Order: sequence, then C-alpha cells, then structure tokens
Amino acid sequence: MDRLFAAIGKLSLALAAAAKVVLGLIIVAVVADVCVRNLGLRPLAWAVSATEYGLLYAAFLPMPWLVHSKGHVFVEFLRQALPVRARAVLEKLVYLACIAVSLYLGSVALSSLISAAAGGEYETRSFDMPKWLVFLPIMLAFYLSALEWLGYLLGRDTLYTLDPLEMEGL
Amino acid sequence: MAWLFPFAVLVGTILVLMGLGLPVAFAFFVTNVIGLYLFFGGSIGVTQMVANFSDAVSTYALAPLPMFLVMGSLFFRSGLGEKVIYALDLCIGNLRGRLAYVVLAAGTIFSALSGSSLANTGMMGSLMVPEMLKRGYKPHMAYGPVLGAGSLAVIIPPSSLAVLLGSLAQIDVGALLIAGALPGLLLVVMYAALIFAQTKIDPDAAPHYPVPAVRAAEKVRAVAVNMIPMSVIVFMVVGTIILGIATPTESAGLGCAAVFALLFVYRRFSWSVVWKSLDDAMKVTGMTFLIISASTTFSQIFAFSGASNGFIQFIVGYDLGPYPMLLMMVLVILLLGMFMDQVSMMLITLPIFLPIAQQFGYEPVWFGLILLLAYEVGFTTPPFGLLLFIMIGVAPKGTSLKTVAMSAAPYIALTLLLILLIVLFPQIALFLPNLI
Repeated sequence: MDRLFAAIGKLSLALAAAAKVVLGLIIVAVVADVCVRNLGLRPLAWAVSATEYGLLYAAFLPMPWLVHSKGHVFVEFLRQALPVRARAVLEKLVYLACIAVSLYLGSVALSSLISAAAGGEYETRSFDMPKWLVFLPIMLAFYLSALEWLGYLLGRDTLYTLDPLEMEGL
Repeated sequence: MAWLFPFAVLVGTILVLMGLGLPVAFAFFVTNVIGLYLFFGGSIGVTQMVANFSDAVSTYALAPLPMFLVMGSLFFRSGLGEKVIYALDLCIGNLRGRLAYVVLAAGTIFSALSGSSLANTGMMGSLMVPEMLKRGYKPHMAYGPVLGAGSLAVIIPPSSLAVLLGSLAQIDVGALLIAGALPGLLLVVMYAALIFAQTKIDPDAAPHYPVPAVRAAEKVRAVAVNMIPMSVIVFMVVGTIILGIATPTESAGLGCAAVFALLFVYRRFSWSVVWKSLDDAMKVTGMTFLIISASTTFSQIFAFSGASNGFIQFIVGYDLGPYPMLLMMVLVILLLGMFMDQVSMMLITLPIFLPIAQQFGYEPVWFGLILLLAYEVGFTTPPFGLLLFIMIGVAPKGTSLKTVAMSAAPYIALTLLLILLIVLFPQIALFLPNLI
C-alpha cells in the first residue's frame, strides 16, 4: 500500500513539474511575441492560443499535487464549531465527497475525451487543437486527485494540519 | 419568489460545504453537480460543465496572473527584496518609529514589484518583525505596519487580484490595474500619518535607538545600486500599460524579463531560484484557476436557474438607491472576509454583485476598485484573515490572534476611509485610467 501511494505521489509531483514547465514556456512565448512584434518582425500567430491552452494545463495538472500537499484553499468556520469526535467523522465525509466528485467528473472527462478522439474533433483557434488534448489534463487531474483523497480517507494524513506560512493565496 | 429556491440551494450549499471544510474548488464542484441535476438537465449539464472548464481558464486575460506571481517570487527568492530593505534602512533617518516607516516604504515598493499580499507580508514579517521587537517596539507597532503595508499589493499595480477581478468581471484589466496606483499611494500616506500619530501619542511604542551616521554619498550609492534598477521593473509593468505600449499580459511578460535581467546584473541568477519561483506560481495558479473553472459554472447555473435575475428584481424592488446598495455590498464582503479567502469571496459574490452593479450603472473600474479594497480588508479581519495567520507564523510563540488583529484594526479603519473617499471623489480612482 505504501508503495502504491508513493507512486501516486510521484505521479502527482510529475504532473506539477510539467505545469511549472508550462508556466515557464508561457512566459517565454509572451515575451518572444512582444519582442518580435516591437522589432517589426512577423508576430508569432500561435503564441496567444498556445498561452491560452497552457493556462488550461497550468490549471489542472497541479490539482493532484495540491491535494497531496494540502495546497487547495479551504475554510473551516462551521467545522471548528463542532466537537472533536464530530469533526473526525466530518473529515471522513469530506474525503468521501471529494473522492466521489473527482471520480464522477474524471469519468465524464474520460468519456468526453474518448468521444472527441473517436470523432476526430478539433478546436479551432490560431491553430487546430485536437479536442481530446483539452480533456486529457482534466481527466488525469480528477482521477489522480481521487487517489490522493483516498490516501487521506485511509488515514495516511489529515488535510487539517497546515502551517500558516504554508498557506497559498494571492 | 420562484427564484428563492435555486438561490437558497446554490448559495446555501456552497456556504455550508465550504464552512464544513471542503476545499473551496471541490465545494464548488459538488454544488455545481447538485445545481446541474436540479436546474440544468442532469448529466448533460455535467458534461457541458466539463467541456466548459477549458473556456473558463484558457483566457489570455488571465495570463498576467501566473506571470506576476513568477515575477514577485523571483524578486523575493533571489534576495533582491532584502537589498531594497537595506537601502531603505540606510536612507530613512533617525526618526522615531523608523523601522515602521522602513516597513511601509518597503511594502510599497514590493507591492509595485509583486502582485501578492501573502508573499509581501511573509517576507517583511519574517525579516522585520524580529528586529522591531528586539528594538523594543510594542507588538502593535511591529505587526500593524507589516499587515498594512503587506496588503497594499491588492491595489498597487501589478495586483494579481485585480487581474482576476478584471478578467472575471469583464472590466478592462489594464484600467483596473492602473486605477489602483493613486489610491494605493494615498493609502501609504495615510498609513504614514497613522504611524506618526501612534508614535506621537505613545513614544514608548517605538523607542528611539542610536543609528550610526551614514554619509550622504553612501545613501545615494545604496539607492542607485539597490533601488533605481528596480524602477525598471515598475516601468515594464505599469509604465508600458499607461503608455499604451503593452497589454497587461505583455507587461507581465516584460516584467518577468526585467526581473531576469536584474538577476543577471546582480549575479543572483540560479536555476534553483527559477524552479522555486515557478513552484510558487504553479501552486497559486493551480489553486486559483481550479476555483475559477468551478465557479464559472456556478455563475452560469445561478443565472440560468433564475436566481440571479430574481434576486436583482427583489433588491431593486426595495428602491435602495445606488449608494446604500454599494454600502450593502461592501458590508457583505466585510462579513464574508472574516471567514473566507479573497479568491473564494470574489467568485461567490461576483455572480450576485455584477448584475446589480450593471442595473445601477456603476462605473466598472470605480466599482472594481471599491470591491478590491473591500476584499483587501478581509485579509486582516479575524477570525480567518489570512495575513493574520501569516503574522502569527512569524511572531514569537504565544502571540495571540487578538494582539495581531488589534494591531491591524487602525489600518483597516484607514482602508475603509479610503473607500469612502473614492465613493465621494471617484476621480481618485478614475484619473489615471482616463489618461490611457
């Protein structure tokens, strides 16, 4: 079991690393586009659409790792009013709800992906993007997140212990 | 009152799920699934929601957000921020409460170089609070300026929250970013006056201590070496928008390029710093964009189910008038701000507030700035203001939430005063955007 969850964690981390690379490439694309345009060269027609699809990947690829590392923001104003035992039960229910919704949306994304691939669907912006590539990060994110939540449900960690300095936000 | 059922189901479910501790994005997903089954044709609606995730976040207008995050993180992680504090420390004379002024000045500069209040507060809190307490500053004189100056990043451009608000509310992002500059500087002046008054009333709050004399030439050199080059970044981000050279996305890209250039100039470049900065940006972008993708569907269900329109007609029926309505909206944000983070608050309130604002004909940039300032207050209101917890994290062990929250109180009062001034004199917000 430990090996399984370690492998899931590594996979989540790999997706997060891919998201970092995507963010780096977005910066390069935007700066390159501004530079060539202001130098009077031909603008990079693909840069805007590539940036937009990059944002989609940057949104979904980190999702499982954020579950793993408690990076999804949450508030607890009702939870904190509950007695300790009720909180423990509620915690399990929260994990179950997260697993259920992740599996459900993951399966919807998977069926959309299969249907898009079978139908050879494309999204047309400044270049044609195979539609299944739009659903791919969404499907991966939800399925892998469900597995990360399963780790919490099995008591491997708790979501509700977080150092204030580790909180993420704007 | 047919709108009341969907309104109660949607708003009630999201608030209860969030309150029970479900991560915000997942609370939105669950609420959406329930809403879609009740009001939107069930599984077909869910398939549509998944298909719409891409449209919600693959928007060019949102691109500045991760880039501003990378820019700010590079700035802090490379140590460039510490060089600014060093220069300010040399330049600010032997004033009473000098470290509080250093914090305020540094917070202002950091806000113009990074779009994140949490990063600003974390950096200044960990660097300055121990020094201030060691010098005998009373807790409110150490924590208050850090909390006040830290939250300036919400309005002083480049503000990540302004990018988010502008792109979600269909407000011109460039105009909204620029609109924050003047009110931001006004707030700095008000904070400085507060520090002056606090040290005047209670001189022991910030004891005088001997500061070694520094020659004018050394001060000039410190400013020239450590601060003037930073103005390149400010120009790349704010100047290029004002001059109409670049869009907000392009200015963010140029800002990143400028920080990279400075890292090479100061010999602070390393791949480890770049990777860590991308890591910071990845975490916040992933968390924020996921909530956006979920909340976009929430807004659509809210409108489609009739909840939005019914609620507006209900409110308009009271004939409150534009200003009492605005006051109500600000009060709702202040209340939510006690329990929620800014992004969640924004994404819950915008579907309700925006149609009302359109109904009353509010000027979009002016309205957006008022919302931003109200969201900013939520950073420092107990019991869940995020900056309060950041401060507790860097304060000595045993520091209570009450002590930190009381330190922030006068700064909150000044922010509310600024909101009032902007309501009374809209040109404070609109003067700069009108120049574009």
